[in-house]
Amino acid sequence: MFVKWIASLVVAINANNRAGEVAAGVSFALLLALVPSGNLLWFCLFVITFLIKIHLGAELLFLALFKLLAPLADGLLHRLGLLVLNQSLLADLFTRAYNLPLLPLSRFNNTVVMGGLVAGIVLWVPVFLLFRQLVILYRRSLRDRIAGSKLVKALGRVPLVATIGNAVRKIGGAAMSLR
Amino acid sequence: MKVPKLFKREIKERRFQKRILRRIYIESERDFLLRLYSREPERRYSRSPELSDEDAKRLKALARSIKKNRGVVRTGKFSLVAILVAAILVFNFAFKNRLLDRALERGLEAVFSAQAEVDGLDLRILAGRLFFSHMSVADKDQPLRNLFELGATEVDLNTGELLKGKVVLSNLISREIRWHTPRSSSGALPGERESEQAAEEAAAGRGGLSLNLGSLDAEALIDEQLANLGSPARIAELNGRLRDLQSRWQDSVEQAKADVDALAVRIDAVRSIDAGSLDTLPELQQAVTDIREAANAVNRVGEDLKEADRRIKADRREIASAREEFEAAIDADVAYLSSMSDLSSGELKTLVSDLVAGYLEQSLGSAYGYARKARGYAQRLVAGRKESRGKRDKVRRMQRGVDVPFAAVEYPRFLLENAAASLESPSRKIQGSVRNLSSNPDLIDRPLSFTFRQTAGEQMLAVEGALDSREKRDADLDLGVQAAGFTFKLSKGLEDLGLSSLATQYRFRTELSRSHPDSTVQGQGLLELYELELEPAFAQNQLGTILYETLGSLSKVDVSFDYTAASGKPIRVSARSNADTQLARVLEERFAEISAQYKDRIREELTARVASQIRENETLSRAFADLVESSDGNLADAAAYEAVLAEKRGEVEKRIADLRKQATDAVKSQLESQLEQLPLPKLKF
Repeated sequence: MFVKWIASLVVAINANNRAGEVAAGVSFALLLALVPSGNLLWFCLFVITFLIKIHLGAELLFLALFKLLAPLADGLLHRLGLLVLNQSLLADLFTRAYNLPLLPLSRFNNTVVMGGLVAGIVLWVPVFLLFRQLVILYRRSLRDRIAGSKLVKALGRVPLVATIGNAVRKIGGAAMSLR
Repeated sequence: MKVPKLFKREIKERRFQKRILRRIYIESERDFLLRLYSREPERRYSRSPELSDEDAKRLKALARSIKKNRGVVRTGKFSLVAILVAAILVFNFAFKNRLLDRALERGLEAVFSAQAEVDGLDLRILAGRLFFSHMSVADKDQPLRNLFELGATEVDLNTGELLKGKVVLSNLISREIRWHTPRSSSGALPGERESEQAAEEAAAGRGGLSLNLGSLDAEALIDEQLANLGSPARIAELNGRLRDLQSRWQDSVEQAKADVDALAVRIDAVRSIDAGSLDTLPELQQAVTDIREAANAVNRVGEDLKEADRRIKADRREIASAREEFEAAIDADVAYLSSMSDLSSGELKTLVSDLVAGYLEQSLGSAYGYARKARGYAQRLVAGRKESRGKRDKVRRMQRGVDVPFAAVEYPRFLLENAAASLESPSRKIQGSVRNLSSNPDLIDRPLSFTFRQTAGEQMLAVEGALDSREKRDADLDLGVQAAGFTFKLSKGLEDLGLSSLATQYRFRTELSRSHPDSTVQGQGLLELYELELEPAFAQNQLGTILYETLGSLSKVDVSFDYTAASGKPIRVSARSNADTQLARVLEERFAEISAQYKDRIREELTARVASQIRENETLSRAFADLVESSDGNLADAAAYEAVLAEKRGEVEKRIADLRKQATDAVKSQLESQLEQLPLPKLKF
């Protein structure tokens, strides 16, 4: 599965796809990783990413990666969530939300959930811009240069990379033929 | 090869820039396109009409990627969501009610441990309305009866809370409530049917009404004290001895009879001797010999008979003595049993209280059983809440944070705020309500409370109470019951009181409380009996007459009572009555008569217990008396034979004497005649 996601990502950054789709996939992956799962909020965010045009391969690949790291940030997220939830200016809003149907199931009143949400939203834009720029940069400067390089050919002989290469050819098809 | 429509031969510059070039993100592809299309002076881009297959293929791939990069929503997946929504709507209209019907039945079955049926269920989610036309839940202890049955019922749900996963019933209206109605099929759940039979057997094993008057029940008293009584053992021992003697003396007496009969031949032979006809010496010698031999035989048999007679009469005396001892044992047993119930000091003086206490132990016991069931059901709701908390514990990351509370009405997983039901018919009116039935009473900080009121003519029954499952509580259950206008009838278990029936109207009220955590039930109440109707069993019964007269003279009998029940044990009731004092005074006055009557009752019962043995004893005694009589007859026969022999002996001796005299006289006269012929000198002076 990881091979498929990696191959899908390789195809995406090399084919005529919007760079923003890949970047949005990574940003949403970070957001979903920071928000603990098992609540309505996480489920809704996850469903939304399936309905909008972002790169799912990138999202799932980076989600798996960020999920491993996210618990390390729980302390920070708790403090951030506590700070947000204890804001007197927002208290009225939160109280109303808490009394609304369904919303409490999002567990937004949990400090780690709220911290993860806020951090995810705040980081969403910079991560998006960063990865978008990286993809553009890759396409402008590296893509054509490494396409037929000796290094790539040498890496292609490494079993894992060869497997990924096969998957790329399988998924890429016509898109890759654009090269 | 056909070129995609997007790449027409001529394209306006604006369109080319905005729709095509802007959506190509790869430099090499952009260059390829600009190589194909050249800019015309009329602000147009155009390409040569002839394209190679390779270029056409590349344009086709480009067109596909440009199309794909359009927009931000995935229309395919969005359509899937739309289909999902449509499926939910279809489910709502087609399957929701059926599934909810099953779920509700399963839920009720889990709570009540018996089959539940729900018909005509209709749930309107947005309106928060639940309706069903009929619901029945079987009684797990009596599977062929329903614990309760509801007719058309409407429930108002708090939909907001339902969306939070909480069932909050703000109101519940139900008509045609019935309970303890018969079922056409068993309501036991599979796996619990085995216990059904055991429950029926247990019910069958329960006796009828048992009054708390054990010491006045002669039969029960004898049963209880049987091991300490002497008379049953005495009569058994006496009958055993009689049977031994019977078998032993039967043979002896018959042998003696045979011996006597054998003597009769000899005696007849002797009797046939005609002493007057005995003339010769041999005849006389033969007669004497016969008589002597017969006499020897008679003497021998007579001695045996006398010895046997002595012994059988000794046995008869012994049996008579044992019989007297048995009679004395009966007297002793009656005295002992009478002493076991001290009529002067207790039981009869609290007769009314004991009578009522026995009745209350049964009726309160069954009512308390219902209350315990209700409490058990409430506890299951709370237990369910704890289970769901356990499931939540699996979520780990959220536990690293804290849930910040916000001001909100926090509802438990299940809450029935108010439920009211009524049933009104020309003859009966029933009203009931339940408030604060909750899966988390601690959260709402209110105990479950309920009321019930039934009126039918002059009869009234009202129940109100509270079932508390909160962690910090003083009592599990508070219950108040009031009843008026009911009739209390007893026709069984009154025999020992000398009454055949007792009927009265009563008013009743009680309050009970089950403490926490020791689960001890304590309660008190008052029973007012009025319009008492008593019927004595028979006129001669003193106790019955006294009860009849004393209780009949009272216009009202008040019985106040207290009761307790430790956890898992039956209820114990102690009662006090204003009739007890009056009854005790009358009883004291007539204690001797009652005591004698009670003794007679015990004697009668005790005699009845050994009646079969007494009958056997009489049969055996008669048989033994016959044996003694036969023995006497044998002895008499032997004596008669002795008399016959004595008479014959006399006759023969007389005949011998006569013959001797005759011979002497003959010899004398012959001698005299010979003397006269002798020439003897005569001396004369």
